[in-house]
Amino acid sequence: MTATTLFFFTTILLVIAIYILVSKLGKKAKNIWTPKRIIIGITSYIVLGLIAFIYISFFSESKIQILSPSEIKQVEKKSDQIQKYDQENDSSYLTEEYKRKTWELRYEGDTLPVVINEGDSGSRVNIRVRYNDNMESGNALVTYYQLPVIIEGIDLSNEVPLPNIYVAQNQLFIESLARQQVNYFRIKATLGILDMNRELERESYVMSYSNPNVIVIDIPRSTVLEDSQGLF
Amino acid sequence: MQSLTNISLKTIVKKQVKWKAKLYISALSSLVIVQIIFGLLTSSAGSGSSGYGGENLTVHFSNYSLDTFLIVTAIWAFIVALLFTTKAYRIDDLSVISSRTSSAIANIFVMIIYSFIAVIIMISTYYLQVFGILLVEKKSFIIEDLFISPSILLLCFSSVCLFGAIGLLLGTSFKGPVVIKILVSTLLLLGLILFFMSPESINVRSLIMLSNLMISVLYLLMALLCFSLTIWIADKAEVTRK
Repeated sequence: MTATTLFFFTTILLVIAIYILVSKLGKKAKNIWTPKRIIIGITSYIVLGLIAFIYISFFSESKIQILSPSEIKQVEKKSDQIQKYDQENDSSYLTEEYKRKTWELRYEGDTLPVVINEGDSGSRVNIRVRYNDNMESGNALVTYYQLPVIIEGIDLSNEVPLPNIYVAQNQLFIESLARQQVNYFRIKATLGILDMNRELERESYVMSYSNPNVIVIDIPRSTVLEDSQGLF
Repeated sequence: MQSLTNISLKTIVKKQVKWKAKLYISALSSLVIVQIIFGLLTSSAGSGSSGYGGENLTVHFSNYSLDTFLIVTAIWAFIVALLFTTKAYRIDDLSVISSRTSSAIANIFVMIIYSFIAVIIMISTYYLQVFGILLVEKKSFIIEDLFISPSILLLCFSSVCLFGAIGLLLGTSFKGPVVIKILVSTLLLLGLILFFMSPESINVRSLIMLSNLMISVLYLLMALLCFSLTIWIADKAEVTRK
């Protein structure tokens, strides 16, 4: 409220000040700023705006695509399925489509303590252990699955930073990297105040979806994973 | 031979509109300057912003919409309309044959023409700002809506026109009969008290929920009412020889 009032008063004062200044300057420099020249100036400004519009329309293309309502519906459907599978401890949804990176790690002995450091990144990661009979002793395969992250209609799955996974002192470390900030400049030639209120009222379907990402640790059946933090 | 009394109101108003539109042109140049200043001030943050935090990711959206430019243009229209009714501008009326009524009608037409040009200037500034953003931020811009829809265009025009009409009405009211002056002052005072004492009582949500076309029609009707009242007050304040 205070900010809005301040904005209005600043605008009013600025408009008055500039108006008076322009009028005074106009009177003093009557020979320079004739009505004809002012009209030419204003027309040039409008033409410049038109050129800018033509340039943007023809020569600039945004690399970031906004998902269409039907695509968002599909993501919504997938998201619901993922949650269902997750609740039932069914990993069949972790397909190649979501696989982002695999780490091949080596360790010694039959026990592997796991240290997870999520820091203050705010990430939600589910860790699953899968015993693999075909794996050799001393080998571990850690796979990171990036599930869809849709923010306001934009697929940001590839922007989520990967965790730092490594073996040190015969311990498996899973560390989340620092929070990453992404800035976007959204061009919407409408009136934001109307759009915002109308969207709130209609409760139009949510344009943001995210699921907890999953880390699957494949180890030989002979290995015992020590989870001192009780995270999996 | 043509005498002064034979000139119709229509001819007088027509002449005055031509004369005033040219004379007050510096009002439009002041709008261009104000728009450039606000365009530069909001170039980094836009008209508004939104954010999201989660999944190791903080996303910040700077939204570039017409809001700021429309608010600035509407305020400009109000101030300019108010100034049109001041003594300094009324002196200019002496340059052409006029009465208070014809002057008020001419002011209304000038305001309508200027409102239309102001909307075009506003749109120009918006696209110039967007162009600047595209040059600086080539990778992280998202174009959701580049074309201004005719309904938004009409809404912008009606909003600017309404503010101009309110300005003209207010300015003319203080030049009118004492009863009107008292009435307008009381209404203004009550409005300000209501605004500062309980701002939550002013609910425009139901208006916002209407379609753009419907809001535009309402604004234009309100502007028409203000214009009619302006002419009526000007007519009442006419200097007549008894």
